[in-house]
Amino acid sequence: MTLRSNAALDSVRPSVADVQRLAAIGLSVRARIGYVTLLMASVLVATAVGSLWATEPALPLRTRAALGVITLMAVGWSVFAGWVLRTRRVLFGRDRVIAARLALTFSTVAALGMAALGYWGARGDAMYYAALVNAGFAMAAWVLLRRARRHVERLTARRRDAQARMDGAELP
Amino acid sequence: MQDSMRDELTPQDAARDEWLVLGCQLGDRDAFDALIARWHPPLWRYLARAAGDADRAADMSQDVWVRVVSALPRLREPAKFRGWLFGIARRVAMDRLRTKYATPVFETENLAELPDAITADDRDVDIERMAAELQRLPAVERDVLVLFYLRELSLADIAAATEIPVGTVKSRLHRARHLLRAQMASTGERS
Repeated sequence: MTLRSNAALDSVRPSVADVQRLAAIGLSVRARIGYVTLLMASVLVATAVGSLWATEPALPLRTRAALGVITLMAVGWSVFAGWVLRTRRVLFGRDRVIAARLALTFSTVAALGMAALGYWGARGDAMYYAALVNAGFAMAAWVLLRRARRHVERLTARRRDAQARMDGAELP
Repeated sequence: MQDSMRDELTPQDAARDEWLVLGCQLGDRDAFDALIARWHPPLWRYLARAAGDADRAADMSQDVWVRVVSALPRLREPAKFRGWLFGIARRVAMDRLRTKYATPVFETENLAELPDAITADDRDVDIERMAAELQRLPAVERDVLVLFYLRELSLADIAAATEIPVGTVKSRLHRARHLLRAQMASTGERS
């Protein structure tokens, strides 16, 4: 018995090449890294502006309201980027390593930059607070980088094992 | 019941699937292309029979692959890819064909009375007349029957895809063939 007897249902649609093209769109590294960058940029804005908002009660009401709105928008973009990366543009093993490296670099530069602004610029308390939050993010990114590397090592080892079984099965 | 499809599903096939899935989980584009080339045709045959309509099946197959790409990093056991893939396909089909799948299922077979093993010969049946009859089967029976005759899945894979025990797969397969035979006999008498 075969399932190839009905011509209308046996002409594979979409073709394998069409599905491969569809998958390539979903697998675009550029889109993934774009969302990772959006996530980090929005977190940076949320921490910097949010720190100002939280630590400067003397600012005029309109300014505080504007800072609050900007912070909420940045948090909204962070949540959106996080949701996309969890459900639509998921990160594969090597993507996770790249994303964690980016996050580590970004958070470290942001923490140092805000600490410098706090030391030399105005709004010292707010900037120190934002630097502290970004230092926390940098530590989290470092943990994520270690986990991502271990994950890639595990997958690679399992793949080598599967390769060995494939080769072994080919022997007479 | 023994899972006696080993003549068709070799350890090499299983290792190759696992190797491809692990490559995909690492983010290897070539592995994705190879996995799609390997599994899209049988997936299409299943969806085409489930839907009974090429356009709807084409739409469903795209949906399945989009879900597979998104969910593959979370697949913990790459060796169970076949059952996992057809499980997604079945859920997509159930979602799109709600009314067909709403037919109640009656488990009436006594498992002890069923043959102890299913062999590859059991798959060698003339389907020329069967294609139209398949569409008249209740969806759950047709599901198991089509997955079985794809020749790509073991009974354990079918059980994983349909989320039922292997024994139930066996009983549904038995009942489906019974129904199909009865339908074909009555069609033959009328013609």
